[in-house]
Amino acid sequence: MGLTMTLKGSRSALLACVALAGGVAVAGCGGGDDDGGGEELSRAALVRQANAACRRAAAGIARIPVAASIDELGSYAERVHTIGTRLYDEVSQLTPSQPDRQAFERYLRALSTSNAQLSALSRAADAGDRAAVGAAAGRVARAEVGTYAAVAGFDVCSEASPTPTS
Amino acid sequence: MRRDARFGCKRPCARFGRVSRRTSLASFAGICLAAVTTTALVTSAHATTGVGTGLPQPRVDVAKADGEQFVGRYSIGEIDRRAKVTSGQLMIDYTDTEKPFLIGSLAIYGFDRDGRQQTSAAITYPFSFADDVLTGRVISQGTYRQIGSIRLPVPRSTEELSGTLGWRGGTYQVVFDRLPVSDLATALPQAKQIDAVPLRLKNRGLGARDSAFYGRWELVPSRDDVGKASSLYAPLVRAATAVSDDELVPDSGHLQLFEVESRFDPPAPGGMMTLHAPGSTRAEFLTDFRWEGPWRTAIVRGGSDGGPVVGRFTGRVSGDTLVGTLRNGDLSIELTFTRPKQR
Repeated sequence: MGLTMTLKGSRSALLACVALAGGVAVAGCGGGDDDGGGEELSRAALVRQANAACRRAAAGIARIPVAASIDELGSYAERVHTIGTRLYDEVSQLTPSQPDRQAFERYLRALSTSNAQLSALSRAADAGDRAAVGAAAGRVARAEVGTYAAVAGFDVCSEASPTPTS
Repeated sequence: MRRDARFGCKRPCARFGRVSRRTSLASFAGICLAAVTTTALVTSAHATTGVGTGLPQPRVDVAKADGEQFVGRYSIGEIDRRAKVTSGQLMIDYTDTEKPFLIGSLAIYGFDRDGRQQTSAAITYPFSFADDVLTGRVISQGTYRQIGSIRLPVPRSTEELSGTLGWRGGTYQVVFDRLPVSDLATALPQAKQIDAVPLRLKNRGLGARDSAFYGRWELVPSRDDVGKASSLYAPLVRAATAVSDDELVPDSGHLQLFEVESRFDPPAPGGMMTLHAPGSTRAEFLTDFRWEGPWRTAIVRGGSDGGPVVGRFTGRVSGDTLVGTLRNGDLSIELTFTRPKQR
């Protein structure tokens, strides 16, 4: 027992030292990076991580019962908006390499535009304004987040999710 | 209920006037008003016995038990596109005369051969009833000349009358949708333009060989997916678009056709139609299939294949494609189904 405790204590100390050293090293190496992002990701890593975030978001949205009336639409849109905002936060943490940066940023802008319109749609639905709901839905569609995802190579993010059948 | 003695209707004539003001043309000053004019003409032309209508008592009476099935107020829901009719209204009721008889008022909006807008107000009179079919002359309220005819088989559902309208030299298939008597604010809907279908198809079943049609037919979505470029927001975009359009837009579904066995009746084709729209799924049960040439009709039942009649399906088969219209209450939707490709 006493031996085990000693080993555990030694391992914790060792891990702390490694973490500290690593932190110093990272801080030292990252000093020149002025964009505030993490390490530049290879295209494959960028696509993999973006797709994973989209897969999680799509799964979350698929679990929300689809609104069948304007009365249900406001809360439905709000819940989708929450997931969409989280997706934006996750994807925007990624740092693309220079060749991928433009397509990546366009995708982020489309995602941001869509998310903003989800809020507008939610408010319109809560107000019972069908015309405004239709207009906001049209703006979400015209943001073409799926198209920009396809251009960026995020195939999972580009797929139009099927409507879950009730 | 107060009765309007001028027209002899059980319901106040003001209803027609109020509906007409909203429906379209100002020239249509209310069927009742025209009816009064007509009855005045008739009164001067014929010795009448009917008190309050001026119309002569028809030689043939339609028994109340038969005529009551048709009494009501209707809009034209569907009409053969060749009739060039865009909307219309029909009211059928018994007069309030000493010896009540069945009479109708018909207002039709459409276009003439030169494409000019045209409004016609007519009386359907006299009616006769034989072999489960109500027939009547359509008489111009302006000239008191026969300008058409109407033929209405006993309705299968309380919500609609299907029949034919003889109009401007042609005979056209027409479906009248029942309007709520108390709803005077709703504008007349536009009549759906349909291709001519034989009213009662000759043959029972799905075709010369029913089994050739059995199996699964996939729905072809009626329009582009509005959410196709919206990624994971696609379900929301579809749902919001459907809500804002206030219409059922199925994005997937299928029609399963099969043989229904019965303990007492010979096997007959049956069908189950499933339509998925954003936020909802509908299941319709189809029975009583009939066919003639490419046309197919079926009765739509609620709840199960033995449930009450709630609508009908009229379609046309072309190869592996079935295009048709499902009508169920207020719902009238065009659907296309295809046979899934063999793998």
